[in-house]
Amino acid sequence: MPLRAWIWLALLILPTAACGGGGTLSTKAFQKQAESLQSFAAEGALVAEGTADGRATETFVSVHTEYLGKAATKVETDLGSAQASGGLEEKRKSALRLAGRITDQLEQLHRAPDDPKLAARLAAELRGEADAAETLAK
Amino acid sequence: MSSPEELDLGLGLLDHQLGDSEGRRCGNVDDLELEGLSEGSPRVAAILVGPPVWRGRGRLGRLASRVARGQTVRIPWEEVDRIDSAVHLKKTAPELRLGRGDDRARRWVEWIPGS
Amino acid sequence: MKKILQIALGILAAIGGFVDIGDLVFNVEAGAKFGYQLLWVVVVGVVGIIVYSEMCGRVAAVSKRPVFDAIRERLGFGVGLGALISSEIVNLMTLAAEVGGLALVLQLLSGLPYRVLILVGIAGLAAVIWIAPFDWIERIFGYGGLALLVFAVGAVKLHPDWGSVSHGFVPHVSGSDQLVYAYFAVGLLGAAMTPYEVYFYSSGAVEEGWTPKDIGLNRANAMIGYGLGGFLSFALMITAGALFLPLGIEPELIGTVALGAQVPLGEIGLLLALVGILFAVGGAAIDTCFSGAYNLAQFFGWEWGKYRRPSGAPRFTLAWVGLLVLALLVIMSGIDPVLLTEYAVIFSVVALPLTYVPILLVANDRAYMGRYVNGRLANAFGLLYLLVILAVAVSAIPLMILTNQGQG
Repeated sequence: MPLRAWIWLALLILPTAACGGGGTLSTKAFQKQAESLQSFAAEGALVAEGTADGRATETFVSVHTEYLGKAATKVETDLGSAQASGGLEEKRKSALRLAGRITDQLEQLHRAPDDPKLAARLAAELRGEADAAETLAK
Repeated sequence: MSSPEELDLGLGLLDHQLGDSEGRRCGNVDDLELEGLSEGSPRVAAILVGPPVWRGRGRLGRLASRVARGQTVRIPWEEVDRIDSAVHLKKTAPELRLGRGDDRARRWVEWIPGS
Repeated sequence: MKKILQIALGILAAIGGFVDIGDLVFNVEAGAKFGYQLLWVVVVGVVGIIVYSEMCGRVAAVSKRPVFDAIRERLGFGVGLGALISSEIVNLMTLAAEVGGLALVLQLLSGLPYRVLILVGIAGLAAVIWIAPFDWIERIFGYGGLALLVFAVGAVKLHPDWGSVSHGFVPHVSGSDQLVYAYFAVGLLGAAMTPYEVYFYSSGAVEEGWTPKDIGLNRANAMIGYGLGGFLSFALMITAGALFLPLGIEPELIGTVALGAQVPLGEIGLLLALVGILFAVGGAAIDTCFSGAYNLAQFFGWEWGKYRRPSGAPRFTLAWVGLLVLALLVIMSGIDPVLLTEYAVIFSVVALPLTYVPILLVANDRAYMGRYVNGRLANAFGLLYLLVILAVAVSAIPLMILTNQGQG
């Protein structure tokens, strides 16, 4: 086969190899999901702390938590539709529940960006979720 | 016209900016019309400007000449005033039938306030 | 005295104008992933843009020709057109990303819907370009961008380990995740050495009628301006390394960048960050838009220039308006601006050799440059960066694919 054909073939195969197929969850893919959840929760906690201390504008909190929430929901959906086997399945279920809690907490913060007491509670909860996600990722 | 005796046509002339007598930019040197090749004393007869001329400038040139509108403008070599980093012409652009693309485009712009 | 004030103001505008959305995205992501380890790459990038701009500015002052004139003259019509097409594609992607970033910042400030703000942003940019005199535009957006200095203050307040920070300035290879490290190095270089800024700078030099005696002054202006502008990039990376890395936060949103100033400095930090990003990205959008129009006009020999009235350079005017419209369509399609930024930076790196090589050739051409031709120092740096640019251009897309855009 001429060189050009090999190059085209490689360019077509590489991206699909890098992305990985959907459906079955690999350990690496799960780790990435868990790390994403840790990221959303940790960031949500920072935003919540800002609200609790009155050090962030309500508009910023409202808009930013909406984007964070959307991203977290996407991970939740992916975890929900994936299939895993053995020990990984247990972890997947834990992560799914965790994702559900995180999206819920972010939603609460999004709805009430002007409530410092609620924000303080959410900050503590989100910090806990972040730690939980970190454990799952290991 | 002042031009160096030895002018590298490739580097010193081709694809250079054209400027008219008022300093208005009016195209590039898209190609050159040479004469006297068979007699062994080649010289530039004219500068050629315009989308149809791009057909001789490679594959992308052929493609571009099909997409762009415009006619070929032939500028006799006598119209060249001097050459530095651009090719300066003796007459104005309208007199040489250059820069008509900008003239056509002006209709689209001049009705807007502040233009 | 007046001259010194002029220079100082020019430098301030250059500093504020240094950061664009590519720098925001890559410096913060690199800091969140690798801490301070990639600071040295930012230095390489800043020196690179200084080298590139200096040559373009010198070529413009001596020959009165901007970059794309030189490209067409050196590469010919066919190859030059290829360089033009690839530059325009990258310019469009960058412009769309900047407009998207602008809309996101406006949303974080106002709470209005994103899509509405895209239209507001585009209309605002078009109005500013049409109405405001050009040096005003550069000044307003340049000074506004200085608000990003809040990240420098915030970075200090986050108490980073300064020992680790200084280690980051020493070139080294990472211990783990080497491919991802290389990807970010490539991205950081691409974000610093933005071609559109160079096209814009050289066109501005021709428009302002620089002569050889302006070379020294403008060289100093560029070096100091870009050099200090690099500090803003450092501040972004150090902030991310000190705040996001320990918490495992992976920045993928513009709001996350602003959070980097909110946490150490509270509401005032947040607002300054958002305003700074607004002006930096807005100014970059204008530069990108113009540079796209400059390239087209210069390649095809149309009349061009921001100092001409719009009807004096009609095709040029239609070109920048057309680019804004195209950018609007691209960003309205719903593509994520941050993702688009990453693609734009990587692709601009791939196209970089096509525009760098002709300038290096022209700067070395004694017939063109006379006694201002590249000296030994300029050529030492010029050739060194040619190697850097080629290496980076060749590896950019493979790295992007292999690391799944830095996700690993």
